[in-house]
Amino acid sequence: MIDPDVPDGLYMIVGGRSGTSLRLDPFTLVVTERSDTTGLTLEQADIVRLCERPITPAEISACLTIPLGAVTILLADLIDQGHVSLRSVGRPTRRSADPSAFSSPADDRQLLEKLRVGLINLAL
Amino acid sequence: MSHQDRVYQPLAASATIPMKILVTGGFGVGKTTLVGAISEITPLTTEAEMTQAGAGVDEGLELRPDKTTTTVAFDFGRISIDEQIVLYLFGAPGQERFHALWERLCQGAVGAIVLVDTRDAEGSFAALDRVERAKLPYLVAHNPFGDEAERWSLEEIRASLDVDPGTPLLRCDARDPAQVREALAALVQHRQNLLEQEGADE
Repeated sequence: MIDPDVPDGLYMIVGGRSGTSLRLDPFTLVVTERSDTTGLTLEQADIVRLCERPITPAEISACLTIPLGAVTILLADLIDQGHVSLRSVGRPTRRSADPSAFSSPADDRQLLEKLRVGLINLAL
Repeated sequence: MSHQDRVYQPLAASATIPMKILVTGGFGVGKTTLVGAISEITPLTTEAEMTQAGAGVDEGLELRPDKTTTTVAFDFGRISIDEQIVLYLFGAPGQERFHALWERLCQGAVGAIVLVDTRDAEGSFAALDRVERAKLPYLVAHNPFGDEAERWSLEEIRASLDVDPGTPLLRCDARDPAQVREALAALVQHRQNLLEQEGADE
């Protein structure tokens, strides 16, 4: 049960935001564009630091132990502010924030072949 | 849930193309074992939260503090294939009420490995039903517990689970990295074959 008198931890992290229209694939790559963390919350600054190397929302969530939904909301703000961006492949056809607007690597014959050969040759 | 305070191993800066494969199956069939057998990182767990109301309401993975939220965890691992391609393997929660998360996870996936335990027909059928409805290319991998490999031939398993003749079916000890690697490559090959067939039909 949620006690209305006790602020929910998640609710605090996302600064009272209740949602985002951003529908983010948990396994899309995010990268930092602007590493200046001035004015960011602790969680936002953590994310900007993690994204110095490509990372997915799922990994951010696991590393910071922040649920995926909260990570998505934090990322939506950071994208809006130009701190991070989605490293998407394929041709953007509609809004860039919509992951379905990109052609999927899973439909790309060349990438599938690279993936298959890479798996076969994977050192164990 | 365990704390993941160990050091996270970041991806190469050159990684640009994430690809993903779903690992699904009944409870305790070895999904996390399979991911852990081949992942370059210790499998991670992420928590996703959604409202009890289910599909439709949690479309944007929204946080609604005024409603009772429930959480679901899913495990995942990672394999860097080359400088650009990174493959994510994830074990997805199958419950109906997580429908929206399930859709988001499956969208754009190469396909699914449905891990089956011959002692759990019910769990296997449920998993097969879910990937069918998600319209994901998949293969069926029999994880043989105990002497189940001697008890059941692949033909018998195919017949009893009513697996389509066009769907690959193989045995895969989820603990064995070489067998897991083989199953993953077979799934990618299956997806390639399906794309070729589509191309030929056009």
